[in-house]
Amino acid sequence: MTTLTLLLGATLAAPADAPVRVEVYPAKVALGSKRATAQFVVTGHYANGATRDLTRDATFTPSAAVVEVRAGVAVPQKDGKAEIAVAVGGHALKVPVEVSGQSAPDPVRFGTEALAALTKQGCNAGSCHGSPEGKGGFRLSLFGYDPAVDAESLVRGGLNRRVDAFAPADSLLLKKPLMRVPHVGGKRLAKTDLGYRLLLDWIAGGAKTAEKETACVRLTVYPGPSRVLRAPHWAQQLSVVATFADGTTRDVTALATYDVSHKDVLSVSDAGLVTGAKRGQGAVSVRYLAHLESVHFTITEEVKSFVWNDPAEANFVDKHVHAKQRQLSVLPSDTCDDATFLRRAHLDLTGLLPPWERAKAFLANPAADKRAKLIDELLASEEFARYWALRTADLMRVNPKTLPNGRAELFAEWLADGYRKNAPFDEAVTELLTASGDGAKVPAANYFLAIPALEDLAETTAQLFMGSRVNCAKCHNHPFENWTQEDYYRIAAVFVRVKKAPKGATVSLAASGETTHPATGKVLAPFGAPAADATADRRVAFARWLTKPGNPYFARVEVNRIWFGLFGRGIVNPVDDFRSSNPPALPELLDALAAEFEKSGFDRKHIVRLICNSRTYQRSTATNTFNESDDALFSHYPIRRLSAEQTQDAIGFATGTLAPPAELAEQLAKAEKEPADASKLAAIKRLKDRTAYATQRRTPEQSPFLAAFGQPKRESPCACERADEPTVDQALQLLNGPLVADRVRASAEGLAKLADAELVERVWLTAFARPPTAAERTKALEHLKKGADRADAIRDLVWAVVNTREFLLQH
Amino acid sequence: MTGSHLLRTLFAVCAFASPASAADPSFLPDVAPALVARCASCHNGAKARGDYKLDTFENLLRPGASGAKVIEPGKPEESELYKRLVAGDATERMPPGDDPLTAAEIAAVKKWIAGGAKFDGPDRAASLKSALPPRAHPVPPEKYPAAAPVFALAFSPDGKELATGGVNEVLVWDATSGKLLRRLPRLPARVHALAYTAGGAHLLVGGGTAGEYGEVAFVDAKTGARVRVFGTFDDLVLSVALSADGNTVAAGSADRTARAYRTDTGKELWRSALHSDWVGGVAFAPNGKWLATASKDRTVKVLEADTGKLFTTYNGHRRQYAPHVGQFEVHAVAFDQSGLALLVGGGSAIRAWEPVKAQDENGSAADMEDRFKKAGHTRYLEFPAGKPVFALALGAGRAFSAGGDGVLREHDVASGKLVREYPKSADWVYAVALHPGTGRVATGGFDGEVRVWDTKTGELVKRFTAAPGQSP
Repeated sequence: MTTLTLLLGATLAAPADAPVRVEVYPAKVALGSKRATAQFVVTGHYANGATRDLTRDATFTPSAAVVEVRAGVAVPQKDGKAEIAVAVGGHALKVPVEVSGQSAPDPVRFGTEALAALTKQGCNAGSCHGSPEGKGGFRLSLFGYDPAVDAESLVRGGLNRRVDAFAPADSLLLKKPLMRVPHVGGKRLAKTDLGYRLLLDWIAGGAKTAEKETACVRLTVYPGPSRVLRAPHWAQQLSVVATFADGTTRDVTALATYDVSHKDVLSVSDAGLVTGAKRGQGAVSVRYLAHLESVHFTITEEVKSFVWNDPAEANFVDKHVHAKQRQLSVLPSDTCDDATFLRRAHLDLTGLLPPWERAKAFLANPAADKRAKLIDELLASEEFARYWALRTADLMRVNPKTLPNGRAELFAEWLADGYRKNAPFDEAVTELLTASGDGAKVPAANYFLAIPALEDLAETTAQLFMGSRVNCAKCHNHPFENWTQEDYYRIAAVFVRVKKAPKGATVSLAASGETTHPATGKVLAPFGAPAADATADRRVAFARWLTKPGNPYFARVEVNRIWFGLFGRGIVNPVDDFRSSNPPALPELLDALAAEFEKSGFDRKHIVRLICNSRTYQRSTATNTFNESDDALFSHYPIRRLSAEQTQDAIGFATGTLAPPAELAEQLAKAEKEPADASKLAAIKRLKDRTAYATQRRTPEQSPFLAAFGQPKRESPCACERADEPTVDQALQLLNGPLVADRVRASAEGLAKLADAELVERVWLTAFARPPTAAERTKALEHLKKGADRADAIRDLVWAVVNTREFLLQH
Repeated sequence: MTGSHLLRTLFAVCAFASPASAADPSFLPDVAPALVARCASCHNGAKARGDYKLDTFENLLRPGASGAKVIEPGKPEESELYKRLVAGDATERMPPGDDPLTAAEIAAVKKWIAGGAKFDGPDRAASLKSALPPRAHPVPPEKYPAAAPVFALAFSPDGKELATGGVNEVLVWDATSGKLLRRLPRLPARVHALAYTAGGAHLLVGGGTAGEYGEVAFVDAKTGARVRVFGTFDDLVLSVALSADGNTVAAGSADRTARAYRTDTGKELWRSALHSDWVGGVAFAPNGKWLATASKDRTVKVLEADTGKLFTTYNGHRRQYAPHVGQFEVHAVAFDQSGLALLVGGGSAIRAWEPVKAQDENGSAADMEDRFKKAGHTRYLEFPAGKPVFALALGAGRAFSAGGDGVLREHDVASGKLVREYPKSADWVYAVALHPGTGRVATGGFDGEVRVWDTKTGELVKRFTAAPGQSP
């Protein structure tokens, strides 16, 4: 008997299956027209703090026939008052209902109903009639952003062929998507769809487009802004209510459109029912007219034999990461070994492999805090400043083509100096965004000079410092975010007075100049904050607004970029695509890092240090049973290909053809002692500029090798311009490309001086920051002995090492 | 011999489709229309649903993916075609997710199969849609629930009457008083084109149902009887024209074709499918040699009137000035007495040019517009409408045009000068008609309003709403 109970207990759901409290949303219902409906969402609260959607389990019993509830939706029947008894899980609640306006005429509204119906049916999507050219001669504005265009297209356009006021059901607008007549887009509408009823009634009412309508000002999605769904209860009904300028509200659950960010994790029905598919996180974005709201879902389940092992936390980074991992039953990997850490930190912070001497010393060092010390040393290095400036310069189009006459170098040096001195990021960005003057004298002014057009300036600034890709909003409201065309031109208004003359080499400000909304012609106020007065530099007010602690974008975007630099993947990913429909994987961590960044006075090195010291950064790449499928929660260190510049310099080190920067001082001293003829002076300059290093130069070297490995051309502000896909060209470059061939050939020169055992150890320490294993050592030594020509044998060995995955990957 | 005289001698022999009658239904008039209307949009082409097509009678008999026999003559209950129309299971019943066929339509199918499922057409492999007889049209609404847009206007040859396109009818009004004189019922749902024969006894009527049907017919101007349907189309007929000698009828359709017929026999002379979009305007040249066709595809083509062969293409509306700027759809074309072609669409000018020069200078070349402008081959009659321009009427050296801005403009063709802008209509204007003899010009618009103007004085003669039951 006991056994049976136990078995049952194990098979059935958890014992505490009755909710301690039940909540019904909305708590009262007013249905003021024939078409008004109300979606109920019934939520059970459980003793363990969990919630569950009980909408489909509840029974709804109205006390009078003024209303019916069908599948959780209240539908009016006649004017009057009643109560709906909602019963579920042993709880009973009463929801008062008031129905009115059932006999009053209620013509379908064009802007807020008919157009929403077209969006719901997909008619005005970008791939259909919402494309700039339309489809089949019928053009609508994308998701109905321009009702005037739609009104013309639907009614007077096309010789009025689309709507038929005399026989509304015969309108082409209905017959096409019903497939009553051939429609290239296929069947898009059924007579049972709400959209059919709305469009039919709108046409029957005279297809009026000019009636005055109150605008929708807000969208409220319940539940929000986030919810956890625990297996087996992976379904959640949403309720969507639109609030209008006159204060009225309408339930638009059936009229809103739904989309998900992670289709493998969750899905959503046309009626707003969200269903989880597997453990993970994802956002459901809800669109109604120009409004978009997102609800973030975490889908969890009990994973058999998963036991949280309370991994140690180095700082708050780990605390937040672990909390999320634990919630999603993901177990972090172990800490990586010293060699891996050393190589990883060196590559991430300086772009370079650790010199072999340093590797040897680090591995031998018994100090417990050696990793933290190493991080401090690397942060203080010149290499750090140069390498991180290179990546920032990538996004600001710093190249000698756009910034000739030494201005690219000057700007790059200014960026490096910012890292070198650890300039507070708010100050650096303010200096950048408000710079004026000759680009040859004011380095930061080159930010403006490198960007060709005013619109690019708005887009680049938004992408770099607000993490937002606003370019869609140039021509229409953003399809996936709340950026409107007005926002876009308001950002442009900040920079509209920036003038570039003469010859695009000097930034000055015009005393006047405005941007207007392309559709309405309205003069737009600059984005962010108003300028002090009509003639003041608008950029100053904008920079102040942007960099002020609490700004929703600035700190979060920069800490996310830093995270991306250290993991190859952002907490928000892609790094410059912040939007509610693309939620952060670790929202609490992002918030905490941003707060810390602000608190520290926008100290970039502080954030880098914090992350590098975390256990999360120091995780092994090896996975366990409970994290092998994780690719978002940083439970194991993400393996990635070295960047183009890192690869080139790593090959330089491994072949002994590129001297570690530590030797630069010595080389310089030597060169300066020699008689100063022109070629010597040039050599000294090359040394100072570190032109031999791909990761340390001021402006990028152009070479087929670097291009093959995805070095960006610096033509856009998108971090995605740096390609990380593997290509055949890369394989060919590594096998027998000229750079590899030349450097491998030269490698024998230095290494030949060493005895075999020392040589092997040196090669391994340089390439992998670790000594060879016994097996590797044996094999390498055998190879060196066997070879007829020792120099050739050395070259073979180096070539083989350079072509290993361990060498080519950051891990 | 005038067209009207000729027509008096004609027999009205056309068979029009009629709803299934009590007698044994025949396939083409009684069964096929419903199948074409309700089934063919999915069961068609390369992606036909269930691998079953009923675009031709031959294909209609061929089983689809299920392999079930489509028709068992004499046994409707064993015929898949019938079974799927009446299936109780919603997933089986055709058409899916839509209303079933009407009881009368289903009964006709059943009876036809029971009667042996005979085919009454000439060619089993021919397109069913084009083999259908012209549709029988319903009677128009007695009173219009709302004003219907006026897409077509025509003055009677004596200038006393004005015909307007209505809903399933043509309405004939007194051109001076605006009084409704006659209704010519049972015509296409929308009438987009009207022309009187020279004697005024008949009207050439073009129209149809958007997206599915078009026809061009001769209609008795007194009774409205359809004396001849020249042809049916896959979409609306948007434009019609009669040659100067009355011997040839031309029509342009939204199905992208232009077609010509012999007036006396109704025989189709040729069919041209050179345009890639609606053919909204057709016009015969005064020399009778050419037919010009204006299209939404932004070109005008000049075809040989006898053969339909391409003479030249005028490309002057195709130039793109910037993304989505330029490239104007051409909605109407007309010739003046000297043979100069004038055409309207979007943009800000009526373009006037000569077909021979367009051919000599290769009017279809990409740089044509700039070259023609430089050489003076194209003249521009300015009109700053900022909206599409739909209608053009020509006479006595004047061009009248109107469109989306509601303004009727009068240009002097020879000088290109704007002579007069008539007071703006409240809504878009789709149609313009001119009667040079009386010097009157009429416009018809989206709001159903018809305005008749005296071109000599510029005064309004009459304004009325061309919709029975609607006050002006």
